[in-house]
Amino acid sequence: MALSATSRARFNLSEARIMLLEATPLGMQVLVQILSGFGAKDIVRATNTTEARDYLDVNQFDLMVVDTLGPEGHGYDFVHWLRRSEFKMNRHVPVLMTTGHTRAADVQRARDCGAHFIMAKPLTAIGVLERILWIAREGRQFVECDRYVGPDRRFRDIELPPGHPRRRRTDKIIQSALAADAAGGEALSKVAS
Amino acid sequence: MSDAVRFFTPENRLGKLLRTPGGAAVADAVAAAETGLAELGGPAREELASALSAVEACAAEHPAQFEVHRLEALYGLAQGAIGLASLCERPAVDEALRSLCDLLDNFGRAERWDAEAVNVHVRSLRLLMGGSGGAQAEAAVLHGLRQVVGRFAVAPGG
Repeated sequence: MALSATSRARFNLSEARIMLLEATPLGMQVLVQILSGFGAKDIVRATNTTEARDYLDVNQFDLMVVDTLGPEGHGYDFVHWLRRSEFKMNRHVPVLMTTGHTRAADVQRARDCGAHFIMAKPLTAIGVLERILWIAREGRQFVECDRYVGPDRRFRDIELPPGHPRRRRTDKIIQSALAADAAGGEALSKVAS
Repeated sequence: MSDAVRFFTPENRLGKLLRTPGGAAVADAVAAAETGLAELGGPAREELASALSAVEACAAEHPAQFEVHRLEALYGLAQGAIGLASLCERPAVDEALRSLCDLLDNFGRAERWDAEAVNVHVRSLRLLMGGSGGAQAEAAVLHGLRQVVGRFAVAPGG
């Protein structure tokens, strides 16, 4: 997933409507500085989940950056709720989560909330851009079932060992695990070619 | 919802927008973002100093025995401060805060408290914030903190 900070490849965030959910003023400024630097102009800022829910009613977002919101992890609950909400125009929006620290007890909660990616702070510009380009890759499926709603977490299609049958109907047979790695590395060219 | 598992591919609006003509080169965008982040160094330093004082005070107020609410408050302060130090070129402080969070998480799971283990973190935070020890000294401090946390490790599911 390495993206060179000196790359001249282009991408365009100027028309994207982005919601940021971050409780701390400085944390919000970090996100705004990064995304503004990337050319984003339409940035909606929410400091709590109530505000965020109100924005969902009247906006169609192209990306959300959601903090876990302190030790209670209300950010996880927000994304979990969003994926099951009646806000159809935002229900499947790409969600990038940020966290200072994830408790052992919250690892499963983080995995199951339905976010596309969880980034540990401190955030870096190149790190955030890599993740945005990665989650915008074409073809990522969503899964809906009783216990999980969100992007398919099996994003590395590593081939099964010889002689092992496919466990799922949707498992893909690919030539080599290297192909999956190469696909990750080409995120930018696929998204922003 | 039912027991059924449904796979589908939603419209990828973000991908389409990113591919529209115009925009910025990665190098220019990253440079612009980093310039913006550099402007936050001063405010981050002030907020971090305030956060470390709050961590010290909260740790000092914890009773000798495990007390869940005080532990939660301390964890919240430490967790909330992660990320500030890297904005003001003190990434080792972020590492030490993360180590403190690991320690407190272990304490919470085991319902225990060890004042000395917390205090060594608090003292290290101040030391690393001073930034005068050099990279080697910082690495040694962080290694020591990891060893402290390791002593209180809780088995998975514990």
